[in-house]
Order: sequence, then structure tokens, then C-alpha cells
Amino acid sequence: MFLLKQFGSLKYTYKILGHVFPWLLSLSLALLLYGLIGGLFLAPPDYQQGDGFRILYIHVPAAFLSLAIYSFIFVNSVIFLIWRVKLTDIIAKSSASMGATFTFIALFSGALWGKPMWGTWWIWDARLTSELILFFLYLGILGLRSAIRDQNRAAKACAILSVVGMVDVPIIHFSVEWWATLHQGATLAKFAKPSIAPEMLYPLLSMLGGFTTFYAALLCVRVRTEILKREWKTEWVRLVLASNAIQTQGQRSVSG
Amino acid sequence: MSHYGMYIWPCYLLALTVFGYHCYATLREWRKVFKNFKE
Repeated sequence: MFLLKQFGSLKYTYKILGHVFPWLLSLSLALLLYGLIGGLFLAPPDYQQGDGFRILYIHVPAAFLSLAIYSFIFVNSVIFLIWRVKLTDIIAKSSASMGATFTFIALFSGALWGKPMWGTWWIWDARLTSELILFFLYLGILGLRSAIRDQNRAAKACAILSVVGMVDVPIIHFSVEWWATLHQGATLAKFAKPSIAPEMLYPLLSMLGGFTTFYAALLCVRVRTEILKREWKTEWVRLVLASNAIQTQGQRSVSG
Repeated sequence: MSHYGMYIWPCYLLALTVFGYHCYATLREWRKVFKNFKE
């Protein structure tokens, strides 16, 4: 109960996220740098696909995050619908646009990979179609949020849509097993040995970590911004904003 | 580099653009809150 109360406290969350943000950003930049160098220069070309396989380092992390962010929105929406924790709605709202973009990157990079490997940019394959539906779900959540002016009604409607749309996530994940698809099966299965050489695998894991921490770092800033917007009438937010204004003025007068 | 390699650059360019845009949009919103308060 104590944890739930602390988790729900916007003032406490604002403070914690401020401490976490620089660490997440540094970690993200380090992982992305290693992933990019490893993926583009150190990993050898694939024996069948040549250098074309390097799309993997963008496509897989983007596709992973498109599903992970939606699942995260789903968990937050369920908590919001049951306990009405304000923070969960803020997290869901701040995540939706990033989830939509990662889904778009996954679809776009998939098309770029599909053309040389399958001979076509797009096919109505189970994996591709269900991922496209996920993209529309994200757009639906974003559209619904901006269409309803009342914040509480918008939050409730988006939470319901997110919960209903969750049915698409397992379909995307298992589509390559349930149906005969052009899309290959999982390269990194949970309990199986990875079907990829270590020189290719480590940069991929690094990019996965880099994408995820990048999302988490930006989420910290977005959640903090949203907290300030929603709580601007409270005394602690006014103090934060006022102290920042004084600091900025001080810096200007020192530099001037 | 094999000819398949030509497909990888648009992919990386898109990812870079999107990352950059998200950073820009997030910082713009953050600064807007403080600017609005001052006004």
C-alpha cells in the first residue's frame, strides 16, 4: 500500500525521474554507440544477405519496442481503470506517440528489407498485417486523446481502447507460428540457443538495450513535463517553476 | 559492400531522424511549460 501511495505521488515521481534521467540517457547513448559500431562495421556480412542484414539492428529493436510499449500502456491502462492512479494515465499518454513511431520504423525498415529479400515492399502476410493494425491502434489512441476535450473522459476512453487493442499483441507475436508466413520465426527465443553468430548477436542486444533506455529516458522528461502541466496550480510546482526562473535569470546576468 | 547494402542507409537515416525529432519535440514541450509560467 505504501508503494502504491508513493508510486501515485506525482511530486515524488517528478523528483525520482529527475535523478534517473541522466543515467538512462548516458546508458542509452553508450549502448547505441556500441551497437552502431558493432552492427555496421564489426559484424561480418551475412553469407546469404550480404550487408542487407544490417537492417536487423534497427528493425528488431523497433519491432520489439512497438510491442513492449503497447504492453506497458496496457498495464498502465488497467491500473488506471481499476485504481484511478493519475500517474498511469500520464505514462500511457506520454508513451503512445513514441510507440506509434517505433511501429512505423518497424514497418518501414521491414519494407526496405522485404524488397531485396522477398522481392516485394509489402505483402498481406499475418505478421505484417497484424503489425499494421497495431500502428492503427496507436493512431486511434492518439486521435481519441486529442478529440476529447475533457481530460478525465479522454483518459478513460483511451484506457478502454488500449485494453481492447491488447488482443493484437499476442497475435503479432505468435503469427509466425500460427500461420504459414513469409516472415521468419524468432531469432532470439527465450529458452533456446540464439540462431545468430555472437559477432552479430552482441550489437543486436546492445541496440535493443539502447532503444529501450532511449525510450525510458525520453519518457522521464515527458512524464515530468505532463506532471508540471497538470499540477501547475499546486504550491510545489509553482516553487519548482519559480526557482527555475530565478536560476535562468541568474545565469543570464552572470553571462551578460 | 553488396548491392543489398543500399537498402540499409534509408533505414538508418529514418531512425536517426525519428530519434532527433522525438528529442526536439520533448525538449520543446519541456521549455514551453517554463516559458508559459514566466509569462
